[in-house]
Amino acid sequence: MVRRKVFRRRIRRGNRSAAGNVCIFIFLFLLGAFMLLPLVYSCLNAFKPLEEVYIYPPRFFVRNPTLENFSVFFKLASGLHVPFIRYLFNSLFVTILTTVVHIVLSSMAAYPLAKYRLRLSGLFSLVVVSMLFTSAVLWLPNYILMAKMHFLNTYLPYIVPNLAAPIGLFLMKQFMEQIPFALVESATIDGAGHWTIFWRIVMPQVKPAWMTLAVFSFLSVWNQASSGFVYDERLKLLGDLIANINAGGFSRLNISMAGTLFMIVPPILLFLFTQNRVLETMAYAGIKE
Amino acid sequence: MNKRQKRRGLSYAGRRTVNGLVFLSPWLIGVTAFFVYPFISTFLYMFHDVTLEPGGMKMEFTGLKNLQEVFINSPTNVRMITEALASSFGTVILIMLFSIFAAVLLNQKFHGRAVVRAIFALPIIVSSGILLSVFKEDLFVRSIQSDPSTIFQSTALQDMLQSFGLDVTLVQSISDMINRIMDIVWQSGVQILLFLAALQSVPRVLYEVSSAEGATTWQTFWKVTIPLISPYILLNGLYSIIDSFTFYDNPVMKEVMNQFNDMNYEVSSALSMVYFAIVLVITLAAAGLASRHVYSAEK
Repeated sequence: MVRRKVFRRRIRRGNRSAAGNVCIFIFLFLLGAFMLLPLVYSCLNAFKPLEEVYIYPPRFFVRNPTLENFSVFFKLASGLHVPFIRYLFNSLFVTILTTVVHIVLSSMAAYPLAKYRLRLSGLFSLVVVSMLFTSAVLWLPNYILMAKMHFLNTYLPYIVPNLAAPIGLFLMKQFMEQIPFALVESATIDGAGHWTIFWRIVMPQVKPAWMTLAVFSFLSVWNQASSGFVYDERLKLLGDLIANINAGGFSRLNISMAGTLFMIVPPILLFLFTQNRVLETMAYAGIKE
Repeated sequence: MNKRQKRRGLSYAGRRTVNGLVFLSPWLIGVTAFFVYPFISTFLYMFHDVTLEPGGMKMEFTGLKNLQEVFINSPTNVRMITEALASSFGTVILIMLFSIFAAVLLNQKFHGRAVVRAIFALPIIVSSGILLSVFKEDLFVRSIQSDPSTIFQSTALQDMLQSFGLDVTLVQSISDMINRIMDIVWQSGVQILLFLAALQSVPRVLYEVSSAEGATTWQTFWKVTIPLISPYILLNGLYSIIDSFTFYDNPVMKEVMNQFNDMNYEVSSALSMVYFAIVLVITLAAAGLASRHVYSAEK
């Protein structure tokens, strides 16, 4: 097996054979190409004039790159009575708020389940069942509930249902269970309260988990559309704008691709940021008993 | 019960439970409002005739008529469900194997690791929500995703293999597998990320010890890495089962959404309830079987 250990590398450089390196490189390169090519192609489409998009057989690279698609995109966006920046603000506001609160709530819920041995029978099946039911399946009762609570046409339908998304609890519980119980016990003996243990002991230990959860949560909220709960154009999200422009269909493919680039960039930035942080934590704060 | 406990009002275990519930309650309230309540409503639709009227919704009790409608009067549904279950099983196993392999590779130190990781996370970013609809409209991407043979020249490969005198069914299954690579790779982004987080939570000390004891990398992988990440293998397995059974492309999910969009709420809820009940049984069975073999820090 090619798994290499970090500490050994420090002592003895070049532990693995050159052939092994080449094999890993080729394998990762092929897989990476699988994942990357369709995306690169679509992004390149954002710089193609329309006649080049529909050439058959399709051409991968741009022959005559143009920024016209972006200017048309902004022209389309400025033609609407809500400025583009408002959609962007709505999306960022809703997504960041939801992600932060979601992580806190699900970690709080996971903590007693993982570390108190609080066995609430049936809770796990509840979590699994609620993961099964995608929001689309429960749309109708959700709509009726939100209408009763006067949530419709505010920011709340974007935020509130996502706060208790079950995947967060599922993930945090699994990671928290791996923290040695001795850590919690010794903190208790030293006189730490439940909040102190939660914030100062448990949460720093599961940093990789909530950094990963942040990416998932950000994505699922960022990519959502108003889906009937919000009809005031000023409160709609970037995704709605893109969907509107996409409704132009094939004739606007390159323009909607230009708009889609705005959707792709923030998640990728967040991902790069969190992944670097995860590495940092793990390098300096291993679990030591 | 002794005096001290009486004075405090609650036993130690009781206070723990109360404290636990304080931590749990915000989440529990959210889940009750936005999952349990809609779930019960959907469950009730199954036994009713649901019509939307101005001013509200009208429900008329019809008993088991909807279930009969879905499973007896339309025979294709049962076959559709069994086929969906069978194909998802294979996908889950392949996804697990692939994602653990990819995560182990990505967890190593090499130049440009952050970039490579980002590339492997791209499917998660792209394969949800609105972006998907954009990509689906894109001719080239569509041709890759729904018919991978365009980039793999799989038809040419088939002809070539057959000209070597190989069995037709064998050639077919080989090219089917190749065609599925794209789906597998694109569906395992979340799993790779979870495994990466899991691999990083393995204490470095253990690797030092095993190396000092003279274990080979192969032994270390099976005796240290795999047991320590086994809780996350379970987590990922459950996630993969749920994810692939409720994938938007799954024929059953498609039928559920079609019925919903045609405003046949009762048919859609009956079909989804039965299907999810089957998936739940599979998930819980898998969890029950696997949890015995999973390492836990508390034992």
